[in-house]
Amino acid sequence: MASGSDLGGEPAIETDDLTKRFGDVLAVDGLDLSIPQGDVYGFLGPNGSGKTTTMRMLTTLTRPTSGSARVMGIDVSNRRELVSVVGYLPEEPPLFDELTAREQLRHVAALHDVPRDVAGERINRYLERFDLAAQAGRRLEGFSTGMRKKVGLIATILHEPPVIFLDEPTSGLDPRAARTVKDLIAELSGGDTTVFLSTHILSVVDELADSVGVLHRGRLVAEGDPDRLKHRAESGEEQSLEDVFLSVTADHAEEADTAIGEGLDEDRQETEPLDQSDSSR
Amino acid sequence: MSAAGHALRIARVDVTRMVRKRTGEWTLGSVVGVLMFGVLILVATAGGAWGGRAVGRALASGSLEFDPVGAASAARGLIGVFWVIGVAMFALRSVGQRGTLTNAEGILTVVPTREAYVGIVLAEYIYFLLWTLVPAAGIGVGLAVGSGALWPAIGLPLLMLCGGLTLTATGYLVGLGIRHVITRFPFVARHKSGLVVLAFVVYFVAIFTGGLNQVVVNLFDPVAASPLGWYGDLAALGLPGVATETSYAVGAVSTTAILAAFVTLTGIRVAERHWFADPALAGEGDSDSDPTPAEGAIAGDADANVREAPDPLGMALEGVLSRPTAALVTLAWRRAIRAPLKLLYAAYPLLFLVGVVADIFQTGQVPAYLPYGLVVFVAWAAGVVFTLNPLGDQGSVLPATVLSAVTGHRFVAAHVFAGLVVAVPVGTVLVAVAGLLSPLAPERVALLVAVAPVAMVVASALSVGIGTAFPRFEATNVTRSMEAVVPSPWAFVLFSLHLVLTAAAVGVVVESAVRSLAAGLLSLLLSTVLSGFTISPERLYVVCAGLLVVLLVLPLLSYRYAVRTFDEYVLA
Repeated sequence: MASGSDLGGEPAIETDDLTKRFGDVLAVDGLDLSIPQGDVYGFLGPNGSGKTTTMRMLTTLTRPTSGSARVMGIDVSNRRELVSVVGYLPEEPPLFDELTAREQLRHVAALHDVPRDVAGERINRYLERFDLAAQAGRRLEGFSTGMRKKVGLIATILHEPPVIFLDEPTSGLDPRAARTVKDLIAELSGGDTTVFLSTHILSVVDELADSVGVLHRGRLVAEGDPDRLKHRAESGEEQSLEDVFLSVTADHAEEADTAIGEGLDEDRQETEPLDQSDSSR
Repeated sequence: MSAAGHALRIARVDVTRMVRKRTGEWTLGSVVGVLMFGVLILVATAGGAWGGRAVGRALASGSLEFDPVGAASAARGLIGVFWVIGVAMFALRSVGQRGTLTNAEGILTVVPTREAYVGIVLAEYIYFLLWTLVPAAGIGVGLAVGSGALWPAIGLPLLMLCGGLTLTATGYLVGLGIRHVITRFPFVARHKSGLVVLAFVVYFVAIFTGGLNQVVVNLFDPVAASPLGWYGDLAALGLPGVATETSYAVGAVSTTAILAAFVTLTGIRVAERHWFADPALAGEGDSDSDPTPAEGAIAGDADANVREAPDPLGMALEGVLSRPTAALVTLAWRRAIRAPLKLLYAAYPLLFLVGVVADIFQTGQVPAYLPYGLVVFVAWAAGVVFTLNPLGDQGSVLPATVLSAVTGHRFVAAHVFAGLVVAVPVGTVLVAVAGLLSPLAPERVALLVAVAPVAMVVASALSVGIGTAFPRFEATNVTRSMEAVVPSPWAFVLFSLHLVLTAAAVGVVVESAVRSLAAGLLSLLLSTVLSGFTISPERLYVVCAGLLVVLLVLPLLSYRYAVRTFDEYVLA
């Protein structure tokens, strides 16, 4: 897949010491990201590591405690401008059960002020593509998890934002539907859309991502090119992307525990490039 | 763990969850809720003890000249009727959210259905006792102290323990049966919204026409004569002047055991059927106005949008509103039509009109005060229908709405518009008709007709801010696939309070008779606190005029607050 890294220009997503604290809990700790336009960025991390909070900050739905972030050059404090360049699909698709699939999509298109004729064309195209055309007149309350996810994904991209944030877009989908979603993500990325992809399904990241970041306890503990991960797997030290993920998060869990034990929990830990040489570990 | 142990565990977890839901996070709402519960129980217990002692004394002294047999029969009928009402209440709970198990898959794959069923009924029984046992003990102790007969101190709590068990078990069974019909039969499931509205209307008509009272009266004698009436003997045994029967009291306990066992066994059968049956989907077979793409059509072809049926409502609205605003208005109406239950709470104040309507039927005349009351009611209704919980109504979709081209102005204007377009014509006509049928002068009727739409606009502007400040996102389950998100109690209270205060202030400022009456009443009330304090009508006029200015400015601020809150909305 062609990486968007080659597109040049300013990063699609850029964060600088982005931090979010909920009371005593440090949800995101000094996150520094720079994601080029057109990239698919795989955002990994255990449950509760701060992935959703990060995505919410990047989409203005949560205010950072400190630090800054920009999406397509727009500061995340500027919601009115930012909404035109982002699409966000939460893990639970935001749908009104009382509406039919087509009504829901029409509604979302109207909220984004997409012209009626353009919206109609896009809705039909995506409904066909996701094999939902025959069910478009049914109310969403009767839809399965996978069907809801597909409708949610269509709603996210209807206004064709240059950056989309997807939280577990393939969970609950059957293999065929998951394949459609992955193809769509690849296609969007090929068309210069930046995809910020949070998922636990590592094979999706392995297949789609141009770069990967691993968040653990709010810190970016590893970041780099997934191809180098494969290289490490081939070199014999790691068996799979899953092993790397487990290894990185386990190491840092131990480090964090040790640091807390020694009263050093406030000290920052360096992000570990995933593509560093084997000897570094 | 034994079967009983499983059932007890399920009940315990259910009760623990309920308690933690109300006390786990000490917010203002939860503190007020717990305090209210405590105060209500305290007042009911103390009041019951005081009243019980008074009745006990009167019975002991013979000052109440009852026919002992008639008194016993009255006790049986009264308690029997209350039992039936209680069954109806618990059946309603069961039809709603209690008829389905929380984490059903987790429970039903681990324990047999009968244990899960007994557990959930047991939890209902505990909730019944939480509200009734202590007040019943208070009444019993009061009766015992007053009459000198010891039994009521035991009999009243025993009544709650025995009668409550059969009441909750029967109520749950009845509700589960109704729920099964509503959710598992496709035809009923498809029309459940309409059926619920119909039931609500029938209920109101029954209240207004006195039909409900007649039903209760007709029930009295049969239940008094049935074993249910024996609960009266259980409670009142030994009271002087009441010819209760010991054998009936013993029979009440036996009846409890038999009836509880019977309805529980029946309920388990119903639960085995209901909890494992596929729900009938209300959306099944529904179709919007858009046909399925034509066979053979090429995906994404240029003519694809031609296949879509027109959206006349949306297009008409887009003629006067921005596209995003029109979409929100359409959404509000569409959801209201498809889930009308959420709007029914707007009809609750009509219960206050029961007496008025009865008078109108009897006298054939519309009282002069009715048009005034209707102005307040239509303003209230206009404020609660679409604007008293605009954020909560969006539910989980709110972030998506926030991340769209919708600004705070558009969002708030859409909700106010959606309510007023319906409320203003209907409300104004209602006031006009009532005014014309009333003995009010034509000029006064014209004034009220002119004021009504203004009142509705002001009320909507006010309610949208209050509703934004006190959003409620939790839905109340009516059935598994139909939920109603009603505004928060705080929003209801503050909005209603403002409206009542405004109406009162307007009355004082505009009507000299109201001013004099209010001044007299206030002086009377205040003099009990501050000796010798009085307030003249003139001073009250000045106070109310000042208050009115503040009250009429508040809606403007409220509207602006709602706009800003949406614009700055963030997830917790």
